[in-house]
Amino acid sequence: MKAGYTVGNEKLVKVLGGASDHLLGLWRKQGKDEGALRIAVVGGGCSGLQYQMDLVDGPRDRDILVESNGVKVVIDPKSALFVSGSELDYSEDLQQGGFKVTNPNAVVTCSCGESFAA
Amino acid sequence: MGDIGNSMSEVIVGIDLGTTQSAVGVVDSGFPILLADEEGHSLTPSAVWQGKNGEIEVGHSAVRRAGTQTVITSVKGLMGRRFSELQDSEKTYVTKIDTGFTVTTEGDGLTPEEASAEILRKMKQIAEARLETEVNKAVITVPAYFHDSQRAATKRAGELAGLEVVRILSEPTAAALSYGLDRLGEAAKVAVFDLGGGTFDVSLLEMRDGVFEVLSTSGDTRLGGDDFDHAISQFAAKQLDTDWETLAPLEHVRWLTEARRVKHALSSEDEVTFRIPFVGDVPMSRADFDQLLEPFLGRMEGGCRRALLDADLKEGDLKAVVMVGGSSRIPAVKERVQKIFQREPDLSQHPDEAIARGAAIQAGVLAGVVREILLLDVTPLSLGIETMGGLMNVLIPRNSTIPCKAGEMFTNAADGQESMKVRVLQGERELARDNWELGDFRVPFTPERRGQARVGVEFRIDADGLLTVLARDVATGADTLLEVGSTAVDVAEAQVEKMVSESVKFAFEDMNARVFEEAKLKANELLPAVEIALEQFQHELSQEDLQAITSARDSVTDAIKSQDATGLKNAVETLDHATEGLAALLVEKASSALFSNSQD
Repeated sequence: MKAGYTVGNEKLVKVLGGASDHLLGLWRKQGKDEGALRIAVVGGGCSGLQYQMDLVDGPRDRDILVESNGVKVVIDPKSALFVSGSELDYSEDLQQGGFKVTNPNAVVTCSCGESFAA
Repeated sequence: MGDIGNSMSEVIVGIDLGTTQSAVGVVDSGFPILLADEEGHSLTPSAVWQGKNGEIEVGHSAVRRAGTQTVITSVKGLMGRRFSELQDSEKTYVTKIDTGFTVTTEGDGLTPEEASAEILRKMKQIAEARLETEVNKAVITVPAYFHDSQRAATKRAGELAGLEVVRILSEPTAAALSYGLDRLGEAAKVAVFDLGGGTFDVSLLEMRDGVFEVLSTSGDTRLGGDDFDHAISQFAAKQLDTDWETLAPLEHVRWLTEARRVKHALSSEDEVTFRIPFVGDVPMSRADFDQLLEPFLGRMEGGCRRALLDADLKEGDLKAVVMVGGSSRIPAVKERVQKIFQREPDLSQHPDEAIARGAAIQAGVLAGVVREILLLDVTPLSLGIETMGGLMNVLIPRNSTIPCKAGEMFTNAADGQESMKVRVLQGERELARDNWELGDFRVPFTPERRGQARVGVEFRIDADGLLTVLARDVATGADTLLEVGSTAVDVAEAQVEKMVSESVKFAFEDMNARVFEEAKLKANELLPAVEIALEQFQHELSQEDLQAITSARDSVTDAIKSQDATGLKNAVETLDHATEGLAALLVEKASSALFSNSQD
């Protein structure tokens, strides 16, 4: 019997190409045909809020499942409130390489469009 | 030369060299993962077959030869021991040689180290195939009770396999790492309960100076899931009036295989039928199974109590109890562990993979591949500044990975303005007043006409979560700095939830308010300009045009009064459109002074 999960869309979370490539590679190396990335928001750490990621087999009861860029992402309902609108990417940057999260939906203001670098 | 480059990209794998099965893992993109062989198995039986001509097979293919040929299994327990230390039952399948002993095979025999080396070589090959790179370094796990010569033998086995063993890691420490218990902090004491196929180990650990120290270890090298299979088989044999002892070896294998199936099924079902074709069926309930387990559970309990006693600890001193090993899945085992330690044990990690995963984490730490990237520090709420009309202008959206920086250019709202107030805000609401103020400061700049000054504002959050706001007058290059501190990211979860849920709750009203404020700003720009232009050029306009302009102007003023956001937005657009002719006239008359005269 399948667990009772709901299906969400990319408005909840979007996996960009770089992150997708890395995740699919991870499953391949483990010899797994499929798997899911769990994203949870946890309190604590040096900042007040952290994204926790884990490789899991699939959704659990009450989870929200999103398929984006060939990757299944599962999120518990409470974390979904925080995660909403996020994009997951992977940076190859030597210094700060790794997964990155941004929430582009939060920006709705206009600006004069000039970039500024200090 | 090239040392730094090499050490940064060098792969170190973690290997669980187990009694019955082995696994190899690595930290990849921050995740500790186990690498699968070409058939997709992440667990390899610790079985070695040596043929007459010295050919070797390891793992699943070696296991398939068992029954008809001699295959080395459970060689781990023989590592680093002298011939004289062996028990009589162990001596039956070894041959004494000058330097120790070899284990009997179809060929010349292998020393325990050589046999283990073959398993390790296989793990190395699996890793190299999956990672598509050479692997020369490894962390290998050993039981906590392994003494120096057994550890040294393990290390030699690694070297024979072409691996530099950068660390020998105790299995309970590996298990603790895979459960993330290192995050419990200094002086945290934990229990690791490991019940595998053939051995039982329990260890109490304490975190000291960032590493786990084994306080005590106890167990039984002859207690595990295999015993339960035997107990089930013998129970069934009794029910079927069959003499277990006189059954042929091949029959034993059949019965034990069925017993294993029943054992696994009883972890999730209440009753399962033990079935041997042409012999009979035996219905077995979980209660029957629990009764069979009782003597084993008693021995387990004894081991746990001894470990507590040896470490001089009480149940309440433990911050966590984790369980690994395949037999941890049995409900009665879990219940007993909970009773002994008076704490719900954590079983969330895959019991057969946890130790290898922990070894991979240790290897990752030694290789400098941090695992922390799985815990991304993000900004819990959006950060921005207040702009004209009391609006929130977001610079760093919420859920942005820390560290980060973002900047935007702002300008003066009025002619001759000498400074600008920067209010640093946090929150998801559209209006500045609904968000939280983290600080404010004044940025002085050279007085200019409205919209001419250029002030760059940059938000920067460092790796420690500290926010610094910098404002620069582009004309002079003068910087003004504000250190906001950690409040930008250090927000209680409940507060974040409140802010986010309110932003959802008031989304419509907020958007409306923003649309209204933005339209009002535009209207306040447009209206005085229209008044001045009308004063000068009224007589040059057609009656219709004049009518259209004044009516559009009136609806703008009305909409401002009635706080009608959509109405105002539309009215402003209409007025903008209606004054196109007027604007053309203005350009024609080259009245460039219009805007400069607007607000003196």
